[in-house]
Amino acid sequence: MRRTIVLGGLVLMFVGLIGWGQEIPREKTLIIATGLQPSTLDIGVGYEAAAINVNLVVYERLVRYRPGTVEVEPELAQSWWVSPDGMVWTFKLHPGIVFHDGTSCDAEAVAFSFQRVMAINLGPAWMFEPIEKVEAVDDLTVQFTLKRPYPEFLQVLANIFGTGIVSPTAVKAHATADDPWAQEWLSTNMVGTGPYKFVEWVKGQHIILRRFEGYWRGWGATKNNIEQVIIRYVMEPSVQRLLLERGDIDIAMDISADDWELLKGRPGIILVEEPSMHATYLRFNCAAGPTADPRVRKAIRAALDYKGMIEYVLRGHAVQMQGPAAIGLPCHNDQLPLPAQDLELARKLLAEAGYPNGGFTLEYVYESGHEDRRRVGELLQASLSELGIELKIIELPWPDLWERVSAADPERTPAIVANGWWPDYADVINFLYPMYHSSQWPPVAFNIGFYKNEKVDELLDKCLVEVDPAIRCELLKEVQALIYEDCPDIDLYHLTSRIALRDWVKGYVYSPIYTEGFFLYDMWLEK
Amino acid sequence: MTYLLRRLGYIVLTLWGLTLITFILTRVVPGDPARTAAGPQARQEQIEQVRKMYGLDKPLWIQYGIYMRNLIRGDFGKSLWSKRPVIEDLKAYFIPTMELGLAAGLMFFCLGVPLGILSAVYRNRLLDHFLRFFSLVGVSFPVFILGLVLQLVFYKLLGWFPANGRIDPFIGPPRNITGFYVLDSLLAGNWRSLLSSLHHLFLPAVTLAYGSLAVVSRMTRASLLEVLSQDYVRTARAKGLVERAVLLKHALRNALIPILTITGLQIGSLLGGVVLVEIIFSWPGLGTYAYTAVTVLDVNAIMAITIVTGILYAGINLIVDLLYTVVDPRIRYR
Repeated sequence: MRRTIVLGGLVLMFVGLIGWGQEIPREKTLIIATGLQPSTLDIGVGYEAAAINVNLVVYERLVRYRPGTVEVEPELAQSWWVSPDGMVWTFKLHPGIVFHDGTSCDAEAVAFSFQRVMAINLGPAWMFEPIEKVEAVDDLTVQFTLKRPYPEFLQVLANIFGTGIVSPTAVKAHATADDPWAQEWLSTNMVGTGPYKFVEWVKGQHIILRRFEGYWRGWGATKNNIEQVIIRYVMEPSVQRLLLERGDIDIAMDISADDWELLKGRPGIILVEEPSMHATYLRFNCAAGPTADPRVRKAIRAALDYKGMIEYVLRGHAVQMQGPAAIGLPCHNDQLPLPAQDLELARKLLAEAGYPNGGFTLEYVYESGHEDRRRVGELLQASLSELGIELKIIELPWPDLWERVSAADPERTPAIVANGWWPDYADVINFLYPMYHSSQWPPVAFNIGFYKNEKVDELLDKCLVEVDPAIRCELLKEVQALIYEDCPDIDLYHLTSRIALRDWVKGYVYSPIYTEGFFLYDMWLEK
Repeated sequence: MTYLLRRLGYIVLTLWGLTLITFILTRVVPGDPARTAAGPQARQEQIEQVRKMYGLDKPLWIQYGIYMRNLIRGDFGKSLWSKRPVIEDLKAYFIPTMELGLAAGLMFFCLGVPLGILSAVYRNRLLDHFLRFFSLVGVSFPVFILGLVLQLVFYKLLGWFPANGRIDPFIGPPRNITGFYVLDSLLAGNWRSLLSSLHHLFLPAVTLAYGSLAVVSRMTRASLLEVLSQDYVRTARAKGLVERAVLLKHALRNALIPILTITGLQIGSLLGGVVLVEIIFSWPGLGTYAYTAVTVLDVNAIMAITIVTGILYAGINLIVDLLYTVVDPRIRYR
């Protein structure tokens, strides 16, 4: 009997203490579950989608993408102007901006942040390569002098990687002789000017952010009542679903296609699905083997069952691509045809290329973990077998795949590589130059199929320095048409971005560039 | 004592072999660690900078020499992925795995042996049939399905236990002393975090322990039944000893050797199962860290994980061998 009482007492104490006395109540806390944990929080080093959610609200940039769009709007800068030759960019800051450590965010701090990224020279630094120097003209005016005109510079400044302004005082306080830019400290700490400040990162478990009361825009005019944000790392998607259903989290970032169907129409849960700018391609080896012949490449393009791909392989969670650049970006060429399956055309093209009955084998390589790409391979395999072409599907982990496609020898490159691309900023040149300019052949960069068209190279070179937006846009559209005609790859699909929220979360707007991010300042909870 | 020294010598030798093999393997597999670390859009010159920074530009044997020199000083190098010292990440991820493993180990040993004894004592009776069915399920149920089922029942339907994590984020971890949340909470006298961490520990530990519990209880049953049919047990009973004394003093002690062996092996296999359990319960442990390290070819992290796991295995083996002498005084090591 005594034992029962003791046990019962213990249980009661246990249950009672679990939900006892919390500093910030659950109703004022937004909990987001995601499977992606960043490797580092350092804004000057990190270059991965996993850090977008924290970077977007802890740090601020000179300019940003307006929520829900790809248009650039002011953030820390209130205005800017560019010299007629496109070589000097000047930004005027808002007055009275403070960092989370209480120090003031002035032009010196902005210049310092960019100097830091360029000196570290990792991850996002490639985007700032055209910067000759950046300096403070006065307290609120910062000036960038470029090595060459950089038409997409404003877009680059709005991108999330490497552009956040970090407190120089905090960096200097933690710098050492071996580590002059305080990389070690900033890899687990953040000091920005954003509406939320960093509190803690318990690795593998969560990051906690808290509302920054001294935020320069003030809190008076917003509906925001979110005092605390907890980003929980939940790797298993089915567990995210359970947590969301019980209301233990407010937002789930990774809901599987199966669970998505089950959650449809469930009271209290809102599902947001938007086409993303993430592009999936099948890249051909244009320099060796049968696919060196454009007719063979086009035959394969005509063989794929696109309708089946979207409906069955991707279960509707994707949009077919139109040309090599993402739909929705400025200067995307929307006059290009959408390829459709046409086996007769495929046979005709193969016969013209000298393979009336097929009779060759191609390698199809994809990265481990991308089930969609495996299933697209199987779909293509079925179609190609009707044409007498055998497709050998090979799965490789990322480092191995990269080893195969970064060799300078086209003979070693597989005939077809399934590959993805994500724009850092909203400009089609971010797709076209790295993947289709012949200066970007392996081992340099991402033209992994050794594609070369002198006209494309010439036009792209012009686009790099053309400062007239209208002329540049025409050139970029022409490049897309030329690439489509040469068929160095099959432009497959844009996967949709799926986010599930509880209905008490208000004010969420999807951002096509900061896909994993939340404009928390404009959000609130109604519980 | 000399035996112990000799064994420790062997362990050092084994670990040295382990470092050599892992070092060579991580360097000869396809893929360029510097490229991965520099970032997907890095220019050649940035990649070379990273290669130099991590010493990956030097000949292999010099790299190994430098690595071993640093290792002896307890320096595992810097992670290519997080750019932090590996030891920092290891501290963060190794302790949670140990905490989960220890809890599961305690659970399966402390429950498995008594259940096995019960099974043997009530041989072929209803309780025995039930316990044997219970073990059969344990042996045949895959860990990840068990984990998901437990979450469905105890989290979603009943709401008794949390589905993931080590502690309620609203409570937060206790002050870091050892890294073991349960222990740190006790040391700090923080009851809230103690209860929350135990609460969070329960489901993953049960998931991890169930399979081993089944194996240990079956082994205990079989081993005990064999001993119970021996002549000296009959003699003990004939002397008029109470059954409890016969069972615990005479029979069990003699049945313990195979149970210990199997326990040692099961602790080893826990380390394998822990990866799945960690993923299902978002337990921030070594398994998930190792998975990331391998996928991004973080050579320094892979080395460190292999060495630490190697030390753990060797340590468990040694402890089990030493326990043999405690259980059976006839066993003497020279």
